[in-house]
Amino acid sequence: MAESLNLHDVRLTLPAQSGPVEILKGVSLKVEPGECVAVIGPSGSGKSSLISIAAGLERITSGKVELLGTDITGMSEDALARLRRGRVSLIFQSYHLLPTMTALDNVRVPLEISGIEGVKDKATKLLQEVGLGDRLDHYPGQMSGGERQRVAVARALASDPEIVFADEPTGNLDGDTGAGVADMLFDIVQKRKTAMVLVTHDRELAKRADRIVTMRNGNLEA
Amino acid sequence: MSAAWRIAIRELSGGLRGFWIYLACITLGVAAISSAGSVTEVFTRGLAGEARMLLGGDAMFAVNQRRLTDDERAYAESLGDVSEKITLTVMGTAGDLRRQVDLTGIDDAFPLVGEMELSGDIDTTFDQQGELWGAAVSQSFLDQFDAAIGDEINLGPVRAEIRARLDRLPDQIGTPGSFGPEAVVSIRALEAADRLGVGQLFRTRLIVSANTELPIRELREAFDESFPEANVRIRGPENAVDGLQELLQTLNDFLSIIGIAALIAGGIGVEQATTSFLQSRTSAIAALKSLGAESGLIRTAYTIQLGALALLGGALGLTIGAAAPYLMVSFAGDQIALPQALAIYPIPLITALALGLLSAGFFAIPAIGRARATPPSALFRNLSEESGTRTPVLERSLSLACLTGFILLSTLSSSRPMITLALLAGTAIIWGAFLLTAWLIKRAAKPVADNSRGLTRLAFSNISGPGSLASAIMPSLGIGLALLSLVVAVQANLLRQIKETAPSNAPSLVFTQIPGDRAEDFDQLISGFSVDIDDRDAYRRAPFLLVRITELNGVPTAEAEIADSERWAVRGETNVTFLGPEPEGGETLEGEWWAEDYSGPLLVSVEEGAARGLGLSPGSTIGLRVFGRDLTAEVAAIRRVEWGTFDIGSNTAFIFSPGTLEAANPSHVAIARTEGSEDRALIAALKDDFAGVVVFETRPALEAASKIFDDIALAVNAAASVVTIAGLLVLMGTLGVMTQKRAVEAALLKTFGAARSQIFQLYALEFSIAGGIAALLGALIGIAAAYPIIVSVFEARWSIPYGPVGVILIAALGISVLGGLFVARSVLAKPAARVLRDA
Repeated sequence: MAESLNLHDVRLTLPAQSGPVEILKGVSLKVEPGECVAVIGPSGSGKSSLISIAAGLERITSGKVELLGTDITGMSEDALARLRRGRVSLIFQSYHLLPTMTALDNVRVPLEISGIEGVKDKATKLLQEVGLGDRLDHYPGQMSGGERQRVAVARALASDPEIVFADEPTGNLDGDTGAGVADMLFDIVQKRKTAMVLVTHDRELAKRADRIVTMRNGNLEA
Repeated sequence: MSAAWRIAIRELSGGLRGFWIYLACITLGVAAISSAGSVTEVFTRGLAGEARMLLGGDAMFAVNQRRLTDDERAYAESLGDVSEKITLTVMGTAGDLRRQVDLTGIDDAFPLVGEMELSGDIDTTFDQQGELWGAAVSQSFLDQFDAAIGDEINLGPVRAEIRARLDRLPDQIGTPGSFGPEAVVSIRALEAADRLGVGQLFRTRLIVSANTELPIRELREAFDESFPEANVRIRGPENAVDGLQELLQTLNDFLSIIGIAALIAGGIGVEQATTSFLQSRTSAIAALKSLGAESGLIRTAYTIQLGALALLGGALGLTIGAAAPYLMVSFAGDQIALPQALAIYPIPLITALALGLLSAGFFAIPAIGRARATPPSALFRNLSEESGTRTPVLERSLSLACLTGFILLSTLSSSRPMITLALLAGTAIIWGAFLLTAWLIKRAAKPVADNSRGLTRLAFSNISGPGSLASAIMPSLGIGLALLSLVVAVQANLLRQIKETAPSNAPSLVFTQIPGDRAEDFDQLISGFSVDIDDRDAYRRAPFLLVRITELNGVPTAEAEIADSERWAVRGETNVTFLGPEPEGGETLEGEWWAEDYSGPLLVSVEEGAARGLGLSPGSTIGLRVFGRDLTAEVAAIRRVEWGTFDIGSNTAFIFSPGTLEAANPSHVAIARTEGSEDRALIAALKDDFAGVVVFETRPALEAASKIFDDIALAVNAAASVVTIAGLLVLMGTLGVMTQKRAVEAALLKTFGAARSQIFQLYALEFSIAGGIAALLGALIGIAAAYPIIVSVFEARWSIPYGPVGVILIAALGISVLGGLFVARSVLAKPAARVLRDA
């Protein structure tokens, strides 16, 4: 069975006013199906960029990215979008919910874009699973940070993706709330045997992953 | 320098990014109002400066169908030097060509003020040499009669020789002959031709030059006391040109209303830009507050910034307004015959600036209030727009004070305060209707979103959810489109009337001054030119005479209660006719028509609108003066008249019973529908037996009217477009704000697997729903408002102008879709990863 993610000597250089900046300097990483890999490292070391290129949101400068067994290195934006549909999910530190939609709709829309049927029941069930059964019709502006992140987790997992990329999912939350969200995330991911790449500063959180890798100055250390 | 000023200056020095729409909306409104005011002032002052010249002296004694009596003339002569001028319409003949000519008779004293410009010697031009009188004619006369200096011509009964080209009359606006051939002869020529008898159609003006300002009102009272029966109107220089001042004021009011509507429509842009700007300063405000800044300091700092920007926008608008008359004169000066007093006039500029600042205050102050009242903790929490703080009472009051000031100033600075107030109220109601519709759309979009899937759900959720596009663009775009649809609908209906209905109903020839005792001979002559005089769709004739209505139900007209719309009936002389049998067109609504052979006391049938406005019903009495004789008529019937049909006589407001008026032997008017090929021969044939009959050819007049209307329509459309531009500016501002707001949404959709084409579709759908409904409602409101204008004001037939309104709808929908595509293109331009990281 192919790896969920296979990065091979990936380099990413971005232009800046003071000249090109090398963000990733030849990173290689494999994530097996159902495996959870935590990426830790200091701020600015390239952790979030690693997720961006792995999920196909950013183009690499050189190297090769295989996502779910498909070489995405030269794929068009629309082809990448189609590949992600229902199979790849992202969770962000700033939640990034759609402000004009209720919690239920926020979970439903990605499913519908993926062409999945019976989304209302599925989304409702998942929101109940994350403890938001009574907040289905609330807009993001009417919810706390912890609640918003739980909606984001439900949204990410609703389509039963094969891989989840989570970028500091508890970074904006206080200790207890963050722990609650993390418990819920690991619980669901492990239950469904979903692969996950988790970027975090939190060493305690990282320890719950199957494997920890450290990002330092654009390089990955095992 | 206080902390508030320091903060304001520091922020302002960062540039105007995000404020272009704010500036543009204020600039546009102020520019429109100040341009209208400046241009009107230039003409008003120009006219005032030339008023004595245009009147020809310091007072004018005017009377129709007669000359002043010796006593009346002696009265005028006691005031200063006098000069007499007589104007009439005659048929001019040169060779085989016969056309209607505006003829002026002058005496040796003319002009008392200014100079008459002729190509020949003024001392000999108007003399009689042999049997021929000298005449000066306009260039248009020479062109249309294919004549030259030295040619012999007939001007009605006057045999004349063209001795000079008439280049300018000092008491006339523009070049002589602009509206048709014009000729000037000596009054002695008209006297010699016996063309100035009582009852003949001509106008007499006796001008007095006193070389000092005459007290016109006192003069009028004293004259009326000495000559109570005279029916002479006395005018001073302030009314030198009949109706022109009123026309200019109407133009100013119309353009000002457009400017005010632009300020209201653009106000949404001001509000949107302010809110968006203050939201972008949320963290800065929170930081300042957390460092101990009081809310008053925040309010002052941002009021200074937004006030300075409003002043800048206002100043730009003023510059355009002050420059407008100069631009107009440099581009179209040759085509504007009115005297102009080019200068910068402060009053209209200050008024426009004040209106601009008050509208900015009304729209921007609540947003400042919300920003300063929001607690720092809430500011850090990134509240959604609709869960934000309510506007504090102080700012709400200030905003309302600005609105009150705006209404008061715009009303008081208008020459027709009630109409301005009504239009403001109408705009407010329309605005309210759009806000209500926006709210309804938001409500209706929710269930649609619930029952849709994927991106369609998102499009409807965006419309129903917080920060909806519907409330942002509907009122502004809608008001603009409503006004444009109104103007287009009115124009389309009037244009159809002029270009289609009128030519099909109008006669091709109109004959006036047909001698009453030879009317039947006239019919016979006409019938020789393929005009079937028995066919009521081809030829009609009726007697006409000018009467002055002096009393209504025994009350002098000056004291009677008369609706403004019907004042025309008593303002001077009015044309009336008399008929035995009841005419076929229209119907008698009240009372009864007299017997066909009735010959008793004078009865009258009055048109229903005139009857209502003058307070007449069957049994009422009308006092009238005919050729110096006072008569009283009893109202026998109230009739509905079908205007605009091929008819004469029956479509007259006052139709009297025959008998009494018949005795005056008035001249007749006839209308004929001809093929056109024999018109020239027919007009030529009248030369011998009916030389006094004046023929008016309607075909060229309708063509000219159509051309003038096209030009006016273009100008009115251009003016009304100002409001649409304001709406489009707001749309552009909305696109800017939406681009910022939707960047994250689009990036997220990409992570969900949405293709670019789907995101394009999403925004095109969302914008087309909001823009399409705004356009549809705007068009409906515009058409609904146009209906009473066409039917009641212009009394024309109504039809929905599907074509032009359809174009507006399609254009508005197209612009909305393009707006959506623009937003999609902008948000998709940035890589999703970067957008999500920066958000």
